[in-house]
Amino acid sequence: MKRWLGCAVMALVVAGCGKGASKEKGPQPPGGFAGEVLVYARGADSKKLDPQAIEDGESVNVVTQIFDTLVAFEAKGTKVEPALATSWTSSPDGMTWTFKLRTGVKFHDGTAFDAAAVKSNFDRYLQPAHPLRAGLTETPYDFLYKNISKVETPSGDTVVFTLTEGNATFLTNMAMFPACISSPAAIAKHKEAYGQNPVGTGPFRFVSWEPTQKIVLEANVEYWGGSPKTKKVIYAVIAENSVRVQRLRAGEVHIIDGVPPGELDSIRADSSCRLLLEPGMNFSYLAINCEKAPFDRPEVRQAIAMAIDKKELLKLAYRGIGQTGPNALPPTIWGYNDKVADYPFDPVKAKAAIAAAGIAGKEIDFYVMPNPRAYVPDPASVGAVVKQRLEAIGLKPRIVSPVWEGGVYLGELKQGKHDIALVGWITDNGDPDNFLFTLFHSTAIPEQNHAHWKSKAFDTLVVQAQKEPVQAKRAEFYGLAQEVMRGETPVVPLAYLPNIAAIRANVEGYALHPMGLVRLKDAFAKK
Amino acid sequence: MRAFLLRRFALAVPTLLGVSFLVFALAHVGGDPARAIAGEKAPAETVERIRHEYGLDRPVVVQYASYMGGLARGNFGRSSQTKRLVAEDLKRHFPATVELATAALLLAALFGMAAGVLAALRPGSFVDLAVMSLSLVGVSIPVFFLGMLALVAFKGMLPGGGRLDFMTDFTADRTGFVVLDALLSSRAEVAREALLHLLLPACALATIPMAVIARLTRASMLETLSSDYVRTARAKGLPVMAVALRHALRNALIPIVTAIGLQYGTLLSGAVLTETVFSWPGIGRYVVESIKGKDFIAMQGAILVIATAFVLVNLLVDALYGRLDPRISHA
Repeated sequence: MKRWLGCAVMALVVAGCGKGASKEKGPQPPGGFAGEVLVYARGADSKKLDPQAIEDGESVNVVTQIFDTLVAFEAKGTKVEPALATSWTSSPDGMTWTFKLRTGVKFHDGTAFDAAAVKSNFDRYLQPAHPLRAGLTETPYDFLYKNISKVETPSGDTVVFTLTEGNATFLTNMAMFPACISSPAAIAKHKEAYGQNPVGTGPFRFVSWEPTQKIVLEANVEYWGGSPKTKKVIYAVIAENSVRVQRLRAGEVHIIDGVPPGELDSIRADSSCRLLLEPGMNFSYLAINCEKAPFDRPEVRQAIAMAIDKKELLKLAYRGIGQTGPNALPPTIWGYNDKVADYPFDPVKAKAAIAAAGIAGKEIDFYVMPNPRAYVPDPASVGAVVKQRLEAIGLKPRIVSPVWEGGVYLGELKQGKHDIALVGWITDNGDPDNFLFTLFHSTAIPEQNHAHWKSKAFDTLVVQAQKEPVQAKRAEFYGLAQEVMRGETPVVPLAYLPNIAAIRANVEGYALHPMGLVRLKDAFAKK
Repeated sequence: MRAFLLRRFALAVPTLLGVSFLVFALAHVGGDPARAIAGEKAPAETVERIRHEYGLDRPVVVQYASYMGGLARGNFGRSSQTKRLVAEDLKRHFPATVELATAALLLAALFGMAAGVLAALRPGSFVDLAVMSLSLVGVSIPVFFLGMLALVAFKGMLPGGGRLDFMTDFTADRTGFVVLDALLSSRAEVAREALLHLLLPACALATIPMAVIARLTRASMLETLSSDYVRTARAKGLPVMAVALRHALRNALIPIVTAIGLQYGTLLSGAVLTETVFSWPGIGRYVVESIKGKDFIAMQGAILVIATAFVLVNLLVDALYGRLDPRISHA
């Protein structure tokens, strides 16, 4: 016993001797790094880092630093610009796309990036029997790329994609994370474990991963787009929102996301931190079940729209951040029709409409998700405020909150169990199609069309827009589609929220992207 | 004694089998694992393909038999969410929980017993009143709230979470216990850092067991101190502390050891709230995350490990009885 105690005391004495780790020197960019380590803290860990196998934001966030796509979204918007491809052309019918690739680029494992690597990646993604497919059972976003029928490589720096049908969103989809290019050699080497050993061409290379704790990346000084400014990036997990804020304010981390609305004022008041707020590309809305009486009648749905005081809702349930509007896509997306007028808040008229429809006192199931989502940080408050407003016009809403996880909540909406449901959406590719077609085309019933709404006029317009290659013409179709929606009112858009992050005051070169993309290449914590 | 232990081991097997079946059955209630794996946006046909590929379309009993067959060969399977081997995850997360639980229990036992003995020696005194009131607060205060308070109070003085600083480059890959691994790798500064990181979460986690142990020690000691043999010892002129510690405490220990054992078992099952507040990568959070993701392979493995730990700790407590009181026989 005494010997043990002695050992413990010795250990503590030795432990008290202070830090002695030496600073390792790796490759440096000309002029050196502007910052050493940048710690980015978020609420959950990434699940996998294989771009084709992921859908959770935390994985996408890290993958974006390690990989490149052929084309990329511009720094502050949704326009695409060259990345691994330096130029591209499409055939007049939009069925064939030819990309000229950047030469001299290497993957982090030293193998060469070329047309064969691009083909390998897309073949692996779209062919279930592909030899590189080991362990890749789920590819959650492959539906966006199913229209690719063939990938050819006429030369080492040229790739040709042939589509089954022309689709104007093809190019923006090529800028999304599932289209990131992995090293085929690394996929073959790591097989099922590739998701834990990602190898790309991006600004940072993967170093290590301590699950639920941190992911470490280091700068790829030979990056074709110029070396990152920080030597190392650490993605840290701090699950509890307020603790994350606390540890930012204590200086333990440099950037945090998922800032709870209740903490905005405390961050604003702290001179050691800065709050970043930029309009986002998301919206939350009430989906009214158009297949279920009495909501199959447009006048009843319009009464619901008139019953909600959106300004009050924004103030009470969204802490006053964000904005409201009449359309089922946010104003940051091109194609937003700002001529569509929102229904005025008119409870008297709404109540009269409900009475005239003979449904005063009717009990309805109002679905409200139990957990916060990025587009609705406090669903319980939204539910409470909306419920009160629906009661004021003579309905008797019952709040139903099945669990979100495992697809239970959305599963019940697919079955059409709801009368009204609180839902939302964040853009995948910054295209209006990703809101209007994905969420409201009749073929999206029952998957994403939670209003179970069918409109031939609307369907025709969004499909025409999908096939039209000229953006200005597409915008016209989408403008008309929004007018059809306003008339039929299958949904009541509630709020468009900004993207929020908080950083230490000494962090430079970090800006929020409207699509919520995180780019750390130019970010650093000033020494 | 050996026969007793063997009998208890034999009993543990059906207990663990029962637990495994229960967890397996519960995993299939509510929610769709195939949808959870496929993702929110995946079309229905993808969900069906995944259901088939993962064998989720087979009867639950068949799935269970196949899982147990794998387990018998030491294969815990792969997490459906992360594709990592569950055995590797458990090797990482369980030692983190053991490290935290042990630190918390040491604090709780040491201070709880000391406080209980002091209170019992002077019943009704200021010390007694203070111990009883504080222990009432300790039992009542939510750990989550206490953790947040501690973070605010010690902001900048003590690390706010995790097993090490984010910037420290060290992996506990020998035993999984950071303090021990750091000492074994002659990284004294890392061991020191790990101990500092343990301080706040261990203190927060120790409050409830400490309060329980203090109250139980006081009650048990009061009973023992009023026994004849204690009075005789005092009459013979032995000092109060000698009688209390050498004679009374030993006899008062049996209920206390039982409480400590039960508390340890509970702590080992993962203190989800403490682990969440202090970003501790323990098994409690692992279970919660796997339940949230309907990752029932990961969940099943973790719960089996927790159940085994619980059974073993109880076995240890039973074995300890005999050492503490030779009158107790396991024959």
